[in-house]
Amino acid sequence: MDCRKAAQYLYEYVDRELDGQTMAEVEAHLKLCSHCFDAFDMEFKIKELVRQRMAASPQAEQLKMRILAELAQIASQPPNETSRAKRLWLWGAVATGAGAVVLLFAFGLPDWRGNSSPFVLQAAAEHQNHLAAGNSVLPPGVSIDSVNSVLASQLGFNPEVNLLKDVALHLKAFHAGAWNGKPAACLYLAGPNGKPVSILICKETSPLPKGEKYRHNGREYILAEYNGMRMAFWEWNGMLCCSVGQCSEKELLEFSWSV
Amino acid sequence: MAGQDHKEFEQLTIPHADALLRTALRMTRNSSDAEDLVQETYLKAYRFFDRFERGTNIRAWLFKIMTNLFINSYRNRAKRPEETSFDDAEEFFLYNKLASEAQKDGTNPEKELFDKLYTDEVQRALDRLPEEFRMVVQLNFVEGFSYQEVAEILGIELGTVKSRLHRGRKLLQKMLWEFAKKSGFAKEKSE
Repeated sequence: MDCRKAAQYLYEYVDRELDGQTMAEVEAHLKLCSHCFDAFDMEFKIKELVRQRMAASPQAEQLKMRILAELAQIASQPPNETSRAKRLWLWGAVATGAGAVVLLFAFGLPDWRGNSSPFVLQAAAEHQNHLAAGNSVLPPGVSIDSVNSVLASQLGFNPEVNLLKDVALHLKAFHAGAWNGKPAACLYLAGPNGKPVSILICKETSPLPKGEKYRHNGREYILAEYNGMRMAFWEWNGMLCCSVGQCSEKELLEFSWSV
Repeated sequence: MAGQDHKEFEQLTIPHADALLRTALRMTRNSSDAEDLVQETYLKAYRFFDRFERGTNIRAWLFKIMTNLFINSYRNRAKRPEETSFDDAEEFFLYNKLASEAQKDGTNPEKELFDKLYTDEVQRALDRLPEEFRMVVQLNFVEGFSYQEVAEILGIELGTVKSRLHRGRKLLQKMLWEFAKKSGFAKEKSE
């Protein structure tokens, strides 16, 4: 191995990322070449310098206490209460559906058990386009703040009720309108591993479609195929929720459980 | 979460709060945001604890959750000091600089340089790195994650980790050199 070749392995050598064979070859060269030895040695020292200087941990004791207290509080709540905040945002999303300006009557208000493409498929397609266009953040005009302000101003929703931060993290876009003449909202979310998932929430009271049944936290989920896409359906406080995503069925179900 | 899981969660995760906060500080460059970020990381991890595969690296799992949270919600409001320009530094930047310093007067400037680089200088140098480089340097240098772990935490390719680390450390050396000079290194010699 010559100096030029050794230099190629410099950082991986310093970072201990080379396989045994290459490692030994670099080491053999370093024994013979004092120039390379010094240069490599310097890289080691710089890395060690940074590590040492930055090693001191900030005071996390108070933070740890806060976290432990918060976890204890969550644990002490009955399971239903735990999801109170989640319900609030779901309510918010549905309420927004009733009042927001974007109306989606144009989609022909199909029955999702019919053959025409329902709102959620349209939403899913839009979501996929949105993500395919490389938009990893909320598009202009759709921020959590603006969603919240729609809730407050148009529906008299308690302005202190904000979408749960956690949902805000997943939310990429938001459509509100009506479906089957009833208020509906569609959330475009970054689902498992960032894969796109759309969730439709609407005031639909007809029974869930037939499909495979799953139970989680006392709620029934139906996995059914619709227009060639696997979708999860569940009922929530008299509302129909339906999710579809570019992910496996298992991921879709688990994600649906978590929101 | 059942009491047993709750206890397990605490035992597995709480010891990593210091390291998480350390890296959160480099991500947000603001101590109150950093604490919020760590706290949210714990709440999220707690919620999704049933998805954590027992026996795998919980530290990497926590860092991955924190990184995602940071990218999705904190990044836009992270304080941005002037970041360094993207001009690449040469290979062996500090080594060559020091070699030429040594030639000038025959002393050993290495110790002098390192003595000038206190926590403050190193911290500022790191903070000035563009985010993509800062993250890999922090995770590999300071937190000791392997290339593969860094790739998984950041959700990027292994090759990207290597190239970012490569450029990141060259930029870092340049920064360290600047800061060492500012705090008096090689002053007499260059004047």
